[in-house]
Amino acid sequence: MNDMELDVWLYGDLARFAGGTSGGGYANLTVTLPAGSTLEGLLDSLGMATGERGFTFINGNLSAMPGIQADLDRELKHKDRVAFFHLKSMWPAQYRQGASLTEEIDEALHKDPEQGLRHSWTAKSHVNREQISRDEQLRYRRTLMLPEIGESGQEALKAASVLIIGAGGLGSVSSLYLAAAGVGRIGIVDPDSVELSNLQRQIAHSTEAIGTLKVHSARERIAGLNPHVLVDTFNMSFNPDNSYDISSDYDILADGTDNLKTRYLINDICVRAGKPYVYGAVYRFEGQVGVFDALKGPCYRCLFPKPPQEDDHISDMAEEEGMFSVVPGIIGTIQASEVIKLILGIGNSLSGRMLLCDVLGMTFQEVLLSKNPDCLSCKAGQ
Amino acid sequence: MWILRINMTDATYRLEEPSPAYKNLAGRAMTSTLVSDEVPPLCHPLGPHNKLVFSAGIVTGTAAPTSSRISVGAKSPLTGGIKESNAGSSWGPALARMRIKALVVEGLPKDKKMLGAFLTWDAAQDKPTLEFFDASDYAGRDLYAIYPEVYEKFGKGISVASFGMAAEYGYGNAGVVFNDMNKRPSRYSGRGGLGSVMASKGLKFIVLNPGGAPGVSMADKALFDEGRKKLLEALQTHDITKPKGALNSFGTAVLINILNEAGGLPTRNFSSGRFEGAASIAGEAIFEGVKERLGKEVYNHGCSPGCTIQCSNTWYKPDGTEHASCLEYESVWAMGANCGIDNLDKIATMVHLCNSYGLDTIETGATIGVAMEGGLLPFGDSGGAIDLIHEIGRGSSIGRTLGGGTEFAGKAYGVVRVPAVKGQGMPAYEPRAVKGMGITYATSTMGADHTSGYTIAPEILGVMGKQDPLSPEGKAALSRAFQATTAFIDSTGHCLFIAFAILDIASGYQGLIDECNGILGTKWTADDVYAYGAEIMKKERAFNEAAGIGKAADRLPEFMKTEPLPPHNQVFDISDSDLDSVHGEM
Amino acid sequence: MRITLRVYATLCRYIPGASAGIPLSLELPYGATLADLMKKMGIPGEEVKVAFVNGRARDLNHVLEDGDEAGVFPPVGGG
Repeated sequence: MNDMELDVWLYGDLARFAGGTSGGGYANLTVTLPAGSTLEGLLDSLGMATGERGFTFINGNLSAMPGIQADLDRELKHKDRVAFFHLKSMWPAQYRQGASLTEEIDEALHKDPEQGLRHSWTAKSHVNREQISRDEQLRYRRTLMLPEIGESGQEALKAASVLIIGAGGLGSVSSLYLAAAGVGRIGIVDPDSVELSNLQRQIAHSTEAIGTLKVHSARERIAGLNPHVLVDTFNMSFNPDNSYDISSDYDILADGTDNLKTRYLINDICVRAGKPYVYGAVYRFEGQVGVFDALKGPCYRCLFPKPPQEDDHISDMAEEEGMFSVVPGIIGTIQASEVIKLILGIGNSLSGRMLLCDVLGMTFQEVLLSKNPDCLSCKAGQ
Repeated sequence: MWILRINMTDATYRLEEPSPAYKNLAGRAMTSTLVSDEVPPLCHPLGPHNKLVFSAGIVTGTAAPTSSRISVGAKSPLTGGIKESNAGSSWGPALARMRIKALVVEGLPKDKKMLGAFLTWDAAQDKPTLEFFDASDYAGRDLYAIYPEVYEKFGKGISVASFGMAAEYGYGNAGVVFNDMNKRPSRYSGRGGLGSVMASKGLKFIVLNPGGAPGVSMADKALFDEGRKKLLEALQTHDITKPKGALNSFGTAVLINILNEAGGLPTRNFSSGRFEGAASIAGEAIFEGVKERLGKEVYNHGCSPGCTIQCSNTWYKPDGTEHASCLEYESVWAMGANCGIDNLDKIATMVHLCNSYGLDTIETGATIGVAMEGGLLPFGDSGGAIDLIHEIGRGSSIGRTLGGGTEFAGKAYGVVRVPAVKGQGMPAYEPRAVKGMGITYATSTMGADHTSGYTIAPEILGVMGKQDPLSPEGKAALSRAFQATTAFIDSTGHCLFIAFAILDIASGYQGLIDECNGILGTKWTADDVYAYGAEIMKKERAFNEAAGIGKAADRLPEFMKTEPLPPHNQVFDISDSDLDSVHGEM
Repeated sequence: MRITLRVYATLCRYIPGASAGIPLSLELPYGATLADLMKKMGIPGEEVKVAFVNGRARDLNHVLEDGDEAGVFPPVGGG
């Protein structure tokens, strides 16, 4: 059988399906497929679910739009130009009125009671946005075999969004596991660049990435691990001015920060928005991990009502007292596990409990926590 | 409510009660009605009988979301017909809060001396009051230099309307400029040369400080509030208009890649529908470029107070300092694809220069495209294009030729391929690839205008169901519907981008109608929207016919009917009778 | 009575030779509270911390019993 070459354009965040690095808001690649392949076959080879794309063009003819995907069975020809647009793109009705169409969408539009003048923009209502592609079927096979998760669980993971505050030791590990597991959207907040002294524990970054932004380095790594994950990057500190805007689009917030002030801020935002806060913190050979979900149990301020004074002997920085390489790995992995369980609604979460981990003695101490009736944050959140 | 008339013949002003016939008119409905009623259609646009009319929309100045548009109208020096061009700025709400239904600038000064008008609220008299000031020091200067001086002179809380050097030369492509939220002279009623009308009157500034003014009066505030909440909710949930949605992330330039793929991005003076450099100047590239230069994702800002969509971007230099704001789809296309230029830094310089000199970016880019076609400089010569904008700004011989606009430049350089209708240069949609747009360009009362057929009301879809919008007759009917509903939106003071939310979300559309009924005390239903808009179109059309711009002008340039456009290799094949049905069956 | 105590993180500095998570055995008079225990170990009252007994967080007025396993941990900041 002969092969054919396709000129494929991926716009906006779909550029991540080009594999490897891409910049400038698009990617253009040549895809070789067996002659006679369909558009669906092209989507499979890219690893893109059909619901990921919006407006689509074949040789300049509109072939699909959000909500009307008439082109899946279309046979592609050698040298066809195929362009996929992201779901944040648009083409208002009046600016496409009388544009060139493929036969299939022309027919579909004639059947549509509103001729496509009104349609959904995200494809959610017509095509299951979270449906998973063939590439993903294979990728998540081991997960799909678990009856506790299965296909519906995998779709729930794809539909979920998690914000990780800090791309250091904890964030490196939790973000990679969440990406590997197939969480659909991960936001990463971090103001810093990668330094050589980070690399003994911050495994999302590489030696080559020294000097580049941590959020970009982490995004590259995630894209290499699982291109189905949308990564939003926020190269800034998480502070009271931006915390609400940044976090409002995410279901769960995961802690990867290196200071107490930000932890109070994450807690307060989560209490206010009714979102779970998956807490993790590390110190030399020790770690703490828990889930603060004020709707169900205590929040961080129920435990530690007020931030410590500046002169209290509480270490904010790994560099001050050292850090055992694997501690953030252990804690970050448990955090990822808690996030996934929360998304799936399975098992017992760490809400109302804290695990204290001591790696030297290799002990885990569980402490049951309860809601503090005088907690100011919980009161304000009600 | 008042009509404020500024007579520049003797530098006086007066407030008058509006005629009862004007009760429900605002925005475009007001400017076009007043121009129809008072301006002789055959007058010279820069002569004593033309009038420049400013009117904010029905809901402008209230808490209605995304509603700070100000309409400017007059007889156009570019098209010779009626013109309404609107902009988003704090200026519109300021005028509305002072309860000025229309501000009319009329007459012609005896000398060339420039004056400014400073309008404030006189609490003792309970009405607006106006003082003239000498503005001669501001003439002939860069708008980015003089705006800060005006802000310094009049203090906080002001809004400023003005024009640049381009208008002082009387160009057909000079706009009226308003301030943005950052006090930049960057929000334009750009099309049709209205800046030159204002300059001909010798009124360099209209500065507003509405402090103490009572605000917009409402017949039924509860109904208004109900409406505005419905519309707000629709805007904040629709994928195009919500925070971090399409417009807030990528701005209007998100259309560059789409139109390019569709083969409808006019390239090198409308000689192709596809530009090989499109992806590097598109909204996605702007977003990524800013992220790289600033080290963080930046979402767009609002052009005016109370906008929840926030689609305006800023481009930064490699060192992170501001370069230009804002890079709209039309501007990026005009300076970019249309001139064969694929470098965002050069495009940003060109856009910034247009703002400095007071030029309409669309007309300027379309004109340079024609000049390139005419051999004045090669396509893709960004340095040469930047020099030409300086020539236009400096008023050199070449500059004055190009300042006349696309059609004028075509005549000067013997170019056949001149993309203009009724003398106005075409925006960024190729009519041979997007034929419905071609119908609107041909038949709009404004000349080639991409915003005159923007909105469609949901209930019109039901009517359209009987006609196939994919057929030529159906396309004409749809264009008529688009144009009429757009004329209504232009009169409400809302930005056209509410179109998405009101089309797709029924409660949003009802919210828009509730808002207007709440303010005016009317009992409009969905049917009245179309009727209101159609009435405006009829008035504008009648003015144009009386000015000698009739059916024969409702046509696209000849080359579009004969030259096939790559990559689809199609010509514009909508028949004249279908074009005529747009107004004929109104 | 005899109780065991585990201290964590920065609180170890108050107890010479203590190591995080490693139980210390000590004698207290009957009726002693967690606050008495903190005082005996030299952990200042204003130090931000959570104390727990037999795996459950308790306030400092909690009265200890013979054989209790107590512990105390502060917030930590690293990540």
